[in-house]
Amino acid sequence: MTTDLKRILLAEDNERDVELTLEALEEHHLANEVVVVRDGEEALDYLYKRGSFASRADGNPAVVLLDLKMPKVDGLEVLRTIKTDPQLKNMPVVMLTSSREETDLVRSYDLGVNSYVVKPVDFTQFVDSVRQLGIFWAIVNESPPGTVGRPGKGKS
Amino acid sequence: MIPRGRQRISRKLIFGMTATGVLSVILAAGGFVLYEINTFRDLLVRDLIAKAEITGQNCSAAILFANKDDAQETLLVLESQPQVTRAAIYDGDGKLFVSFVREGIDGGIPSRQGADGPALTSDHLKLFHPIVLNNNRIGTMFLETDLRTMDERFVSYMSIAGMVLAGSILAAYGFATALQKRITGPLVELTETARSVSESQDFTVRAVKYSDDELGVLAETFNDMLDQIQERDKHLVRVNEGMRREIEERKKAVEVIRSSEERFRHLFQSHPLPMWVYEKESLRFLEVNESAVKVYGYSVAEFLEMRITEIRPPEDIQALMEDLEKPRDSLQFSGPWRHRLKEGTLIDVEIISHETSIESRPAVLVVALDVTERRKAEHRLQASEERYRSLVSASSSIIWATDSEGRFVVPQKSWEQYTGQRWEEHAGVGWNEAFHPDDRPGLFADWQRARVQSANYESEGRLWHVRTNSYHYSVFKAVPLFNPDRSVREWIGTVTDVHAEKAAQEEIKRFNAELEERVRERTAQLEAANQELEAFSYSVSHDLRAPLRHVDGFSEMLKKRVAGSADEKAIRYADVISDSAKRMGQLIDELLIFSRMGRAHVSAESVDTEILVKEVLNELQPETGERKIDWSIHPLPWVSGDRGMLRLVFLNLISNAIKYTGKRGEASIEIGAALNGKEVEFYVRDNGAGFDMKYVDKLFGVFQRLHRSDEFEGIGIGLANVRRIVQRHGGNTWAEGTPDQGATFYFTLPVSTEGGS
Repeated sequence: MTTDLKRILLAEDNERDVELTLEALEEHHLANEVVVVRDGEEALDYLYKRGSFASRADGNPAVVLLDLKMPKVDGLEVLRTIKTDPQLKNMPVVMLTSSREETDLVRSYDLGVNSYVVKPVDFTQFVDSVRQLGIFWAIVNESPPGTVGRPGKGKS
Repeated sequence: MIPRGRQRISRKLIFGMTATGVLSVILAAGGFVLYEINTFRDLLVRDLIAKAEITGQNCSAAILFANKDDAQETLLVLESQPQVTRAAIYDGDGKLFVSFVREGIDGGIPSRQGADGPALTSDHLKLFHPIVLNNNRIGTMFLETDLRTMDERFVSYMSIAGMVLAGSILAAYGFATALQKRITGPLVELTETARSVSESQDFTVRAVKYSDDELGVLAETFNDMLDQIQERDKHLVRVNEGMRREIEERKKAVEVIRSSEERFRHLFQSHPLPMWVYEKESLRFLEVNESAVKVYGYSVAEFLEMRITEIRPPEDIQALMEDLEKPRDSLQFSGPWRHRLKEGTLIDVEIISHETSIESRPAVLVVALDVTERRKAEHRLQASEERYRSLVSASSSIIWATDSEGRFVVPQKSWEQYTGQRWEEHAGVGWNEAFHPDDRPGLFADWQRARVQSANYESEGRLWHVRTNSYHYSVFKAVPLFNPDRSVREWIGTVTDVHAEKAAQEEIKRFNAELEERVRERTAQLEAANQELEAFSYSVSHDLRAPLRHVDGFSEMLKKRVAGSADEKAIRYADVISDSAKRMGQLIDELLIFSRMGRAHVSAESVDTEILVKEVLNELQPETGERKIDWSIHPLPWVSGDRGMLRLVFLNLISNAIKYTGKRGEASIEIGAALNGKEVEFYVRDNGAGFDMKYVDKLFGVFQRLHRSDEFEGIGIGLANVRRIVQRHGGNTWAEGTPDQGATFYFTLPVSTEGGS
């Protein structure tokens, strides 16, 4: 099962949240192919193979897990960039955030987010949510062409 | 049934014709029989004579020789003649010589010869006949025959005649009947036609003409007659119709005259003005109307006993008599006169009189116009006008009067005092100069409008105030006074100094503007605060929850780490940390909801609270599933409000009720509503733990709890939410309770609230 894992891009500025998220994914053996970036700029660098990611292998992640509030470039900005780029827009983006604010929810969907998940305080629930996310997007969902782990031409 | 007349005529005809036939037959038969009888009798006589001659001749020898035997023998020859009843022969001396009497015949032979010739008795024929020989009479022959043959013959004749008669009667009757049918048939028909015409009055019916004889002529004539009758009838109908119409018109005319007379009488009687008619010569009242009776106080009977002089004061009678002497027009106005009422009061009247006649006597119709009040009013008006004139000129407040063109024609003292304009300055339209130059066009336009329409004038402007040496705001009002022909005679107006009021108004306006400005500022502040609050709750939502998540997450991970060791205390501590984090997360969530309730838009939709409550109950089903709860839910109304928020209200109150009845064996929860003025008052009542009324104020506060959380779970924000939502809908919340007995929570919603924002 792990051999078919597709890559997950996790954009999260809070290292504890990263740790918890990875822990949750780890529990279900989904953590192998997680790429963690710590702000929006790094996320875009990764996607566009810029800066420290210039030499990374081709291919888009199967899913991007985006925190809403991040330094430099926030999650909504990253979402907008992805969804307005013809090369990237088919890539699934999931908001994984603490915010229950309706305005955030509405704006995310307006920008074309694929799903919106509020991080529960309860760790058990949190683990469950992340696990389901990982399973759905990284395993169940048929990714668009150009995704890592699928035959197809990588983005330069 | 056959009418008598007709029966008679047909019978008459039959009878007449039959009788005629029978009579002629009787006459003919009678004549014939008489003739035959006479003839037969003559024949009998001749025959008898011949027999006597022959027998006499035969016996002549015997007589001569007096040979009686021979004679007897000869006589016996006669025996063969059955009708001969007796025979005898007398000798020349007239003595009986021989005789013969037929057997069975009574009586004898006459002993002596009778006179010669036949003699007829009732039933016999007797004959004495001389027996002559050589012209000498030698004897006489007597023969007698009975008339039996003649009777027989008579009888036979009579029977023939009878038969003929009977036959001719039958024939005559038959013929007469047939003839009668031919004659009377058309007649009967004619009669029938005539009868039907007379009965139905239908003159279009015509008799049928069957022949050209007199009956035909009769039918024709009858038809002609019907034609004429029909013609006449039509004519008659026309004439009648005309006459009927004429009569009706006359009736109408009479009715019109009568009703017009009545109307005039009514007009006269009920005319509001006193009216009467008096006789010209005697001056006596002939008629008076109700108004006269009412005004003058005399009854009709009293009036009719009086003369017109009697309703005048004695001193006026002379003048009246002189006036009456004067030649007058047929319609005349005169007066004022003074009339005296029955109770003595004198009234002023004007008289309209009209010459007329009643029953061809000259009379006068009088209408009396009571002008007492008018004359009083005239006097008053005169006085008032004088007063007004002196008032205008004497007034110290500004009252002014202009001519119809708006020109001052007399000095306006009050105007002069206020504006300082001397008479030569304000005369004519000089008043215009006293206005603030900026206000003149507006004042002038208003003035022109009022003048053109002859309407009341009202305008506002600044007028020079000489005492303060400044322009004062003033209100100008004027009314037109009219001539009798409705043209404007003059204008009378006032000036009211409204400077103080105007200043006050300006002040108020300024205050209002300031106030508005302050409200705007405050609103902006509030909006800023609201935004801050939003930013705050956003960061609460996002940033405060993150550390909690870490606390919970890492304590969980810690628990897993130490799970292997037997340090149970460490595990319990980790549990406490984790629980506390979770509880704080809950608190934050609830607070965020509460905060959102205060800011979120409240929509105003029509909500059926009955359905809403049902939904809430369904939702709470899992919590109540096992419990025994006696629900009593009354009909609930429609309200206007935010469905989601109202749902939260019911959810909170009902789940509270469920929660606080948790320790009751038989819980009972009642939900109802009542219309109270313009509000609907809802209540949720339970028989649960209740509360002490002295803590009632804390009930609806945020995180306020009246029970320990180990008694009843909860974080104490539900009722705060309820109050906030109800407040946002413009309603109130309150509660009543008794410890351990139960609680009732009330809230009101406006019947038709628009839902505040």
